[in-house]
Order: sequence, then C-alpha cells, then structure tokens
Amino acid sequence: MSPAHSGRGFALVDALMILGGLAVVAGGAYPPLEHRAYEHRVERVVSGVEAVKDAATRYRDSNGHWPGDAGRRGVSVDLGPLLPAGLELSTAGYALRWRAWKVVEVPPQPVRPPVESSAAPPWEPPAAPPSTDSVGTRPPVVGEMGGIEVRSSEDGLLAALLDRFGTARSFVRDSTWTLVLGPDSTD
Amino acid sequence: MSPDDREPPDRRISRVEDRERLLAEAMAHAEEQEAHYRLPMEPRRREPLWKWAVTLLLFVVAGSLALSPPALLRGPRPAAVTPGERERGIRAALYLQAQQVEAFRIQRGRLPTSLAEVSVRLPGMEYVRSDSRTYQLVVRRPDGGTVVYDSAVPRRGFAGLAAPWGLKDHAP
Repeated sequence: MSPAHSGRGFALVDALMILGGLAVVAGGAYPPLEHRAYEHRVERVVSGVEAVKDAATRYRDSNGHWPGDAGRRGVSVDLGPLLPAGLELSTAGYALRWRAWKVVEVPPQPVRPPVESSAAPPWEPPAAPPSTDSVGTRPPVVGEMGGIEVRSSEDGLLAALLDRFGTARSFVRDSTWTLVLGPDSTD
Repeated sequence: MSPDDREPPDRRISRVEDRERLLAEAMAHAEEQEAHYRLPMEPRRREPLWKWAVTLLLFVVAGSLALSPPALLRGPRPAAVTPGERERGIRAALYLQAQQVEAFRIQRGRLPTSLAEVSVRLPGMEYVRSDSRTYQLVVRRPDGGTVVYDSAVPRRGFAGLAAPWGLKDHAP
C-alpha cells in the first residue's frame, strides 16, 4: 500500500519542519564560523605586519637607514625583495603599506672624559664656552622614522592591532592603524 | 428479412435501433473501463496543529540565533577602538605631520606653502600658515570638533607623545 493510501503522506508542513531544523543548525553554526574567520584575518594581518617590520629592520641594519616611502604602492622597491614570498599586502579586508617619515632630531651631547682631580688633566676642554654645549643651542637635524600602515574598514581588526602592538607605538586614525618604528627601534 | 438486409453491409443503411444499440454498447464499455481506474476519494486530511507550531518555533529560533547569537556561540566579541584611542590617534597623526613640516623647514629654510610640498602628507589635515614662521595643522573630528597643532605652542596637548617612538621629547 502506498503512503498516500495509508494516510501518512509527506505534507507541506513536514517539509517546512525539516527546513526549520536545518535553519536552526545553520543559524547556530554561523556565529562561530564568522568568529573563526575574524580571528584568521587578525592572525594574517599581524603576520603580515611582522613580516614587513622584520624586512624593514633588516634593511635598516644593512643600509643604515629605513627603506624609502612606498607612495601609493604597498611597499617600496627597497623592501620588496626582503619580504617573504607569497605575502599578501592587500586583500579584500585590509591593505598594508610601508611609510617613511622624516623626523626632527637633536644630536646627542658630546660626552667629556672623566677628569681626575689629583693629576694634571690629560684633556683640555674646547675653547668654546660651555654655554654653547647645551641642547638648546645645538641645531636640530633631519632624521627618519619608519611606519607600517594597515587600512581596513573593520573597526574590530584595527582594535585588535592596537591591542596586539600596544597603544604606545601604534595608533588608529579614521580607518588606518599605524605602527611607528622610531629611530632606535630594534624590536 | 427486410430489403435492406439483402444489401451488402457497405451499402446497408443503418437503422435507429442499430445506432442506439451500438451507442449503448460503447457507453457500457466505457463505464466498465473507467470503473477499473476509479479510486474512492480520501477525505482531505488536516495537518496537526503542533506541526505548524513546531515549524514556527524552529524558524524563530533560527532567526534569533543568526541575528543575536548567545555569547556561547559567538565567542568573545571583537574589541572596538575607543574614543580615547581615536583622540590619541588624531594627535599622533598631527605630530607626525608637524615633523614633516619641520623637516622641510630645516632642509629648505622656509615653511612649505602647502602640505603637497612635504615628503609625506596624511589625509584629512588642513595646513594654515599664520606668518612666515608659525603654522597650524587642523583635523576635524567626526563630531564637528577640531584638534589643532599650533607650532607656536607645540607642546600643548602633544607632550610626551613621541617618547615611546624613540624620539626625544623636543617639540618641533
């Protein structure tokens, strides 16, 4: 006897019930999957920033100065060969860029060698008066500083970068997070 | 025997009773054939109400899971950039831009006429020259307020900002 004859047919409500069950499963699975995707994006952009930072630091250690500004490109031609192969600087969720800024620095004070009081001083102070040897009178010079920018419309991603690299060395303005690599940046 | 019966069949003229007999035989045959395929009609079955209720409940649960999932499912919520961090970001960007202007001043011996002349220009900044020696950099906040870097009083609001970057705390 067919199901129709037995009175136990598959009705519209049964199909809707199954559809509802599937919707519950999908609705329950979506948030964890979305969170996993977000964490994956954060890890990917952090590793990208670390790679650019390592390459720039190696470049500076070899050449004595930071790589040039990238302009509209992601990284400068100096930095490109030092980056790991396959590193994605720009994806649908974010874009990485190397920046080189100029900074105004004051040269450090010359250090006088210690003078022994009992013996005759082996070093004579310069003829210039001591008053000129202060910070205020030393002319500032132009130095340079590096930086890595990450542009993203995802506020959570920018906040995660601030959290990961600290608010002392990085900042967020509009939709751009910036990591500052100062003149004495070694880490 | 009628005269018609003596005619060959193709010449015979049908009579009324013959036609009625043939029609009755055809109708009887059709009735008999139809009876083989005729099934008794089942009365229309009403689906139980609980099935509709469960279906509705399932869709409501699915919608609420998708729109506002419980913390157990969504994991820790991604942090957001706080207003204080955004304010600090504006000041840091202003400080960096001022450094570009000051570097230009040291290298060229004059202030730039516009930010297009300096090496790096950050977006969303206004550069206003008061005279040949002082200038202001202005950023407008989304709420309509402004943050101003004034080269005449550079430390106001910007002191200590660059120390973590490895720069000595001297104003440009």
